[in-house]
Amino acid sequence: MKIKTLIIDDDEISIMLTDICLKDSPFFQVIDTYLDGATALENLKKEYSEDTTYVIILDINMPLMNGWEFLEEIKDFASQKNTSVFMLSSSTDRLDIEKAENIDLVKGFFSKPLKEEHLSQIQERMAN
Amino acid sequence: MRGTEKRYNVLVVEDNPGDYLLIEDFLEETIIVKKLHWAENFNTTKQILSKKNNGIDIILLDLSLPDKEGEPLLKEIQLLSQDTPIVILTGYSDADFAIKSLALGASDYLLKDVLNSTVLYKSILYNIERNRILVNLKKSEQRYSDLFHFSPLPMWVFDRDTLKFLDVNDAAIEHYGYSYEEFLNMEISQIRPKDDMPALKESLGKERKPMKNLVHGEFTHLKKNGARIRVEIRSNNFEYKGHPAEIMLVNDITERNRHIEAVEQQNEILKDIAWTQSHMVRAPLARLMGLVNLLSEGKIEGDKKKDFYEHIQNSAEELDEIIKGVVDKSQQFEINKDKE
Repeated sequence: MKIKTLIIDDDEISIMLTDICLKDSPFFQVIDTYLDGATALENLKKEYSEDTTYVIILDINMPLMNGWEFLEEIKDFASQKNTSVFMLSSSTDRLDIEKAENIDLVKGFFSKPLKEEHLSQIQERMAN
Repeated sequence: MRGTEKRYNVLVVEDNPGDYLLIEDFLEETIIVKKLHWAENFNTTKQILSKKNNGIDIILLDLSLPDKEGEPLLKEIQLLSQDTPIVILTGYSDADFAIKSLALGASDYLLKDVLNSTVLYKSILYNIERNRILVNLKKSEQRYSDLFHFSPLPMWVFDRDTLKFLDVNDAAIEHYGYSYEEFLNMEISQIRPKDDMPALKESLGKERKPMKNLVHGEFTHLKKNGARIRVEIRSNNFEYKGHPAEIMLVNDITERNRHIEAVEQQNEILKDIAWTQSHMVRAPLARLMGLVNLLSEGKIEGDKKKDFYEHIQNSAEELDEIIKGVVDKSQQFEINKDKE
């Protein structure tokens, strides 16, 4: 099964760092990056296929469409079976973490920057 | 005649020297007189009683004096004597008025025609003692009344049937702006906003027993000037002069509530600042950490390194700006607080 990773973050440097980190692992073969939630949503809607496994690394604080709004949109068509969202935010706010825990599609919450240990956590949780 | 250990100062007000001599004789027999004063008219009586610490324990009063008599005389003497018992001396012809004088506040009356030392002795002892108890009772009542009237918190009593104020204390008068007389012509519903009426009616409809179903809670009251205040009420039920009544203790918490509200508002602002900082401050910091991580792991080579150092520099500057902003914002918060 194809695995596709999306990085959605309005901070270019942050995207670059996440991208470099992910590419260290053979698990993340295909990586698409988006600077805003709206464009990411549009593309995902178009190409969404049940034969592909989606890993979405999602920032919270973004202009136009923030992480929460993006999640609200994709839950209409994306299935938990093949879609896993991991929040990657500079926030360490307890309220954000609690909010993420209550959303089915969200499988994890990481504080930036992304680290190697996060990669193994992503794979573990995907396996479950 | 049996002697008694205690002796009293007696004032005899009697214009008839013959009658006075008779009384003096009887009194001598009783051996309870420490000092005997004699006044032949109202004017002398007034002089004696007006002296402070005159020490008079009881007054024997003939109600027909050359310069004043009857009810006006009794009233004047009462004013002068304050708490000293007054025993009326009278003849058969005036017995009816003597009886009436008891209702006016005289302690006792004695008919001169049947006077003897035994009767005089008994009357003096009895009236002094009874008066002492009455005065104590009056003082005790006054103490309780003072507890109500001088309470620093507004208090009142109202009739549960008519809702009329029956009594209000000084603090209530001061706080609500109504005079005592105005209060006594009002019903408790008049200090409540119109929209509270249904709740008030329901509350009053419930049967209450003393010390049970005590009401306490927060309500809105209206002052005479129309100002609304939030008050904390405590009340209890009791019988007031035969009517089911309720006594209420009021604590104005308007200021306290306002203060709590201001603190809560500031809390919200602080939370907001905290949330923003959690996102804003950590953004360049997380970037810095990520950049440094990758560099130290040796994953970045050649020309790319130069870009990384530039990113690190930029992120550090961004962080610096944000922290300056945080300081500014908290100072602004301080200023806002001062304005409160």
